[in-house]
Amino acid sequence: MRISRLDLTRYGCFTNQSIAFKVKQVGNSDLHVIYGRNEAGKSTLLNAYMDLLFGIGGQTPFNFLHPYSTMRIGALLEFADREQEFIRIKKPQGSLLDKAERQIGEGVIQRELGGLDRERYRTMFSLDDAYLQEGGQSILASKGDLGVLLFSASAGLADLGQRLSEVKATAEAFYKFHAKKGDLRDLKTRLDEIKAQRTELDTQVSVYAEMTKTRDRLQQGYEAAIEEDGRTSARIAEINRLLLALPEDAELNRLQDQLSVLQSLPKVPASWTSDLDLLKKEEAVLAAEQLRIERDLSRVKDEIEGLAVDEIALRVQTGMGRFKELRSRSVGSAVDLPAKREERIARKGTIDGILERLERASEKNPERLVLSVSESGGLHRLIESWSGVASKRQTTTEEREKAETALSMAKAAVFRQDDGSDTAGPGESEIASLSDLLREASTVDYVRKASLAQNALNAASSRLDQQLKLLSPWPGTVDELVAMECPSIEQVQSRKALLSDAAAEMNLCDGEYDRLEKEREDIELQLSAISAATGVLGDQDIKKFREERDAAWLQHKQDLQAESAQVFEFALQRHDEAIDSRVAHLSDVEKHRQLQVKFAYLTASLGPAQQRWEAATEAHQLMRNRIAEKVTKISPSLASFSTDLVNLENWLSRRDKALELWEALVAAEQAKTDADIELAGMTISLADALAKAGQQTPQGSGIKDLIAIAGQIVGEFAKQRELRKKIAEQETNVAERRREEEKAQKEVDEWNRKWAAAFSSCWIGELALPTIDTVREILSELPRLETELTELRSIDRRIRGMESDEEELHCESKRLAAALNLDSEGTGSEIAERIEAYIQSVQDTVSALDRKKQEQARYESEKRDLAVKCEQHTARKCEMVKVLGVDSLAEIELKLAEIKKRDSLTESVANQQASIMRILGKGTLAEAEAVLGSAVQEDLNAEIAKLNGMLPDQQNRARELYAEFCKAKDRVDAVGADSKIAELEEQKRTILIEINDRAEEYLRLRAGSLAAEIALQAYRERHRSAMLQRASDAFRRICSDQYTGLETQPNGTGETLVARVSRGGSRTDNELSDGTRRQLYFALRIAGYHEFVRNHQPLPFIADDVLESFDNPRAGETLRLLAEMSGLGQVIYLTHHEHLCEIAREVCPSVNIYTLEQTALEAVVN
Amino acid sequence: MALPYRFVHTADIHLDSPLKSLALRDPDLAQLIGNATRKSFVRTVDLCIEEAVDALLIAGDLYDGDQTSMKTALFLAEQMERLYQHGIETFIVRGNHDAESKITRELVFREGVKVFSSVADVVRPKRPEGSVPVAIHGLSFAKPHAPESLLKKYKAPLDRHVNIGIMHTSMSGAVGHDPYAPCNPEDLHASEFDYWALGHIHKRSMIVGKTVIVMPGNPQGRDINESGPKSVSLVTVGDDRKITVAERFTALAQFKLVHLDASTITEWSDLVNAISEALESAQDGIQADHLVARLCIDGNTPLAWRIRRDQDLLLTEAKFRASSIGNCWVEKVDVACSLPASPGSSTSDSTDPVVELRDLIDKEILGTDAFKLQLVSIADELRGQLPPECRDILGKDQVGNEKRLSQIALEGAEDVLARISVERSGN
Repeated sequence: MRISRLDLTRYGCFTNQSIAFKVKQVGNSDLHVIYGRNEAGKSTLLNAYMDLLFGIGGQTPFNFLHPYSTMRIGALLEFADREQEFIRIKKPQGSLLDKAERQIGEGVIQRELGGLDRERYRTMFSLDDAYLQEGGQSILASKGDLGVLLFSASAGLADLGQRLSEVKATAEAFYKFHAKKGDLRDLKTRLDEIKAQRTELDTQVSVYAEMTKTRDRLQQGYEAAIEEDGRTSARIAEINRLLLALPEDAELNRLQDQLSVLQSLPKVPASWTSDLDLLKKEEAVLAAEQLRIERDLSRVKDEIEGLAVDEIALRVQTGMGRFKELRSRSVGSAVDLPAKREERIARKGTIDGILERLERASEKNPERLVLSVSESGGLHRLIESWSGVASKRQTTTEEREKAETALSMAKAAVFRQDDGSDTAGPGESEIASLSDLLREASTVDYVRKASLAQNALNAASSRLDQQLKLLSPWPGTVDELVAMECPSIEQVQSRKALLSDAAAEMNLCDGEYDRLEKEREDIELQLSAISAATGVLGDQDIKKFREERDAAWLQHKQDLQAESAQVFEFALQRHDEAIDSRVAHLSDVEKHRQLQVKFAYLTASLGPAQQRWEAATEAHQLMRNRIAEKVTKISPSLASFSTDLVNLENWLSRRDKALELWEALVAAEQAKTDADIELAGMTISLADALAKAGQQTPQGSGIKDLIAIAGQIVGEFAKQRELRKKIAEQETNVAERRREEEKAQKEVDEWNRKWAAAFSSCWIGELALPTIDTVREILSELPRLETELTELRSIDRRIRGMESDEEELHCESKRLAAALNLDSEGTGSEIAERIEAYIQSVQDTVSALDRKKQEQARYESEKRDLAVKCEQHTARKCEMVKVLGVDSLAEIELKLAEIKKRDSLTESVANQQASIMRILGKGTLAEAEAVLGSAVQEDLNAEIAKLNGMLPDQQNRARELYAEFCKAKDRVDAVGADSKIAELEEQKRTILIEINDRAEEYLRLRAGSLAAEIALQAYRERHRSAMLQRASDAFRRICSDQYTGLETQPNGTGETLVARVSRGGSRTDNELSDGTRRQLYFALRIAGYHEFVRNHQPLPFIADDVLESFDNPRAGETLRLLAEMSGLGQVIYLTHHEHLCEIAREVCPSVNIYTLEQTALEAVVN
Repeated sequence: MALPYRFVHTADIHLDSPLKSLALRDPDLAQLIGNATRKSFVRTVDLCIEEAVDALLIAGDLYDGDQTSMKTALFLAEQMERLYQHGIETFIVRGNHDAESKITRELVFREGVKVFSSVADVVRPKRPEGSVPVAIHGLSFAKPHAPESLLKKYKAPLDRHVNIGIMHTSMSGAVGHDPYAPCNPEDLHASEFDYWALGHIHKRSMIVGKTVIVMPGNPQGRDINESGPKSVSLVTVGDDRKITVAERFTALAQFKLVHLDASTITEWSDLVNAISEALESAQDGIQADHLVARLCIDGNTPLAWRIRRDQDLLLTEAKFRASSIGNCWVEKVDVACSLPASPGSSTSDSTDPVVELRDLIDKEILGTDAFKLQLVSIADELRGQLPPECRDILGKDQVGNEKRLSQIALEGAEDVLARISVERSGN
């Protein structure tokens, strides 16, 4: 690293100051000496550099001028690969900024410092006197190995030993000899816990085998006990059964005896007992049934014989179709007929009402009144067309009257116009010519035209007068002006240009002259200034002095007197002084000479310049005279314009304008005359025309009056003509309207004729002059009349039909009554009712006879069925009789009772046998009997008593065995197939792996740190000698007069550094003088710096007046060492001793020396 | 009706044999994959039931020799019972571990399980009428060692039958390992059996020739040395006597060595990302529920010493990345990185004191007797404190012991220099 520039922006006594360190040139040293008096800020600068690198401390004393918040240091630092700007402000954190004032990490700088912190940098390579001593003492005072200290400090591996201890501690966290704690111990404890858990939970295979064996043995014991118990219980049960079976066996024997008596009875079906009951009941029922059937048959036969039928009536009945039809109609019409008759009366009434309204109440034949379609259609059409015909006639009449009124009004108007005068009006031609004139007079306003021409004339005259006034000082009239001879404006302009060119030439010459003159004056001034300032004399003066000198010499040669000598001496001296002065100011003399040449040239140039000016002036004047002459020729009054061509040019343009106005005035006068002539001509023409039209006008009437009179005459004439045209039109109109009216009247007459004709053919014609309204009413009533008449006819038809049916029924009834021998008196209906009643009675008799015959047939069938049943009954009775050998049902019954008793005994015997077999638990009777045969009750009772005594003991034994077996089985079952043990095993395994892993790591770290410790020792040994040699060399060079170098001496615990004295012997640091001790300390730093640079990028080495106590030779040698060291890295030395700068220059010509002042920093080279 | 004969073939179950991984220090993972040998065996039984096979063939090593808990045996019996309930027969031969095991003597299987004795036997399972008849041959280890081939002791293959042999064998054997009933594939092909159901070697292999020879490997790897996918074989003997073998994966956790070359990596964050990527790609193709990875980082990188020093941080970082991948766990990070050789400077004249120290250690210290003696005494002291199970940490004999110690010293020096150096430069 290198400092290129240090900015003390606001720090200590500095404000906005900056020191730029010279760039190192190849082959030159990088040694920088900064000189400054006391209080110039050297220590401040050193501190600023440290603060830049490491930050401004919390309680820094460098705030006496700039408060903390504004303190600021900057620098441009060179690194191996780049340059970088830094800014440091005072802040607890983030105080390092880049050029753009962004915060950057401290690492950017720290990385470049090779592991040095602030304290170590100060102790080693950033020294003031205090640090030089303190650090030196601490190096030497330490009891340890000097090599270690020097090496550690310089190589930045000071805490390597500490790091190694940390590594070792890391390893020992796992295991340490005799330590009470440690990860290994914890892991082992955990292993023990798992082992204990496993022992508690697990069942080993061998244990399991034992458990199963026990379980099986107990099971066998238990089963044996149960078996014995079972046998005893079984015997007890068997004896009990025998004791139960013995009485049953006795009962069996008794039953068998009873049964043997009834064995001879035949076997009959079990159903016979119930069959017998049925047969008994059936016998009684059959007898009763037979009696009932016989009785019913005789009754029915009697009833059939009592019924007789009228055969004739049956025959007649077949021919009664028509009678029934008529009879049913007659029943209907008995209700309908009166209703129809009432309806007829009502309808008749309605018709009479209509006839009444038609004023035909007495009409015999109302049918006649109904009109045919063509008749009523014709009447309707006429009625519809009437309103059109009538309204048309009315309209035409009204229009005709209106036209007549209009005609008479038009005629009246013409009459009023004629006013009764009989004078003939003016003719058409007169009026036409008058009208033409009038149109022309009104188109052109002659009066106004004349007055406008007059106004234009006045204006033109006034403008001309104005313009003439502008021509002053010229006093003439218009005519003179017109006659005047003038040059054109172009000519004047040309003159003007020529004159101006002449004037310009004149001025140019004048300026040139002035310039030359001024320049000459300047040179003159310079010449005198040179002479005055240097005492240089001009060549003329020299020449003059030389001549005077030569003259004096000649005089003196001649006189050889003291006065002449004095004169000659004066002249010679004056000449020599002048020459000396010239020699001393050679450049000034040269300049003086050049100026003189230029002065001469300028003086020569002034004459021609003046001649040129004079010629130009003359030409200009000549031209002006010529112009004045010409102007006077135009008019003497314009003489003043001869010098002022611009004014003349203006006057001439004003004259042109006046001439233009004069021409306009002449034209206006002509226009005025023309207008007056036109006005007079028109007035005369109008007066003539009016006279011809018969209108006398007063003499001298103005054209306006004439126009008014003529307009009135022409207007009146036109109005008359219009009125007459209107009368003719109205007359035509009246004639047209009259024709229309007549046509409408004819249509009315035609209608009236058709109206009368329409009635002539029908009954309406019988009415006296029927009106349209009457006829319309009649036509509206007629359809109702027609409807009512139709209905009436229909009713009449129905009534007649019913009356005819009634008559036919009467005849038919009478005929039938005769055939049936019935009474034929009375109305049809009465007879018919009688017939119907008789026929009904005959039919009833026939039905009754049918029913009785059916009843008889049923009874006969029942009789046949009964006979069959009787046969079956007898057959069944015979079967029993045959088997049992008895006749009657009662005997059969007795036999069956005996058979039943025998069957019951047989069943009881079988039941008894089964019961004995069940009690004894035997399959066959023979087995049971075999057992019973040998059984003796008394023996059995004795045996059972004994067995009952044994049984409880046996049972207790079995229970005990069972409980033990269960326990053993539960133990086996409890082993289970779960994975708890496997889990514990897995945990154990994981811990073992961890122990292995950690143990290996432990060994690695221990082995590694052991190797590193040994290596470190060897390394230090190796480097110590090199460094000591360098320190020794440096010390020898500094103190060559007294010491030959340094060496170490063992001192029991370590080594001591001693200085070898030239004269022999050695001295420890305590024995050295103050200065020499400092030199020793300095030598150690130089050696340290070389060692540091061997391993790291170089850092600036800064020292602040540490050579104060060095004598000049030693200081010189030290500076030489620093200059050599600056070949490795930048070296900055701050001092307030001027002589050190001199020494530095001597020992190192390429040193850079800077002067530091309190107010400003200024780099001064060499 | 002719039906194919189907069976599952497995071996080397080593029931309740613990997983050996530092990863299990994580209680969550221990919960997930603990007892993996059991869970994997349950999966095998589940497979038999799901596939409704005819039989399960176990070619030895049901449990470890030192297994003494009866719970293990009872668990096995439980699983056999499940198979029996589903009408699946089990055929077992005992391997070397089984012969050692006391469990073997106490465990009595019920109906449906055929454990072949040390006398060769053949069983003919009931087959539906018209199906190809099958004969299953077996022979168990009587003792933990069987230095001779067992093949010649097997009964001759039955005529017309599909003959399946179950055998526990180390095959041709690996150098340095005891031979267990050795035999070679040629002999097996010559045996005229149709299928050899082998066991013992924990890595799966299959040879199809005249006969189909399958070594299924263990169904659940137990440590990083048993890495790779683990499976059982689902075998079908068709009507046409054709044998097809399908591999079915059964492991809960699969161990995998994940290698990472850090040569091109210069930034810590890049390294962590590279680890993440390496783990992600390792996760692909894993045939188990969980991946347990051991990261091995090597190559020359400027980060070498920092990786050494901050190995614990790196492990934490790797575990964190693994957890975000999901079902991925890191048991350990092994570091074999070195610093790249800096161009233009040989070790001898380098100005870096640490480099010089290292040079000194390599050349002048590690080889010295004094150093070795001190190291041996450190190791002996430690060994005395370790639990008995760990006392072989450096090897079982003196030669191995010394060799291992030298290696540890070499690695240790590297580690320690890394620690002091990296801290010095403040990286």
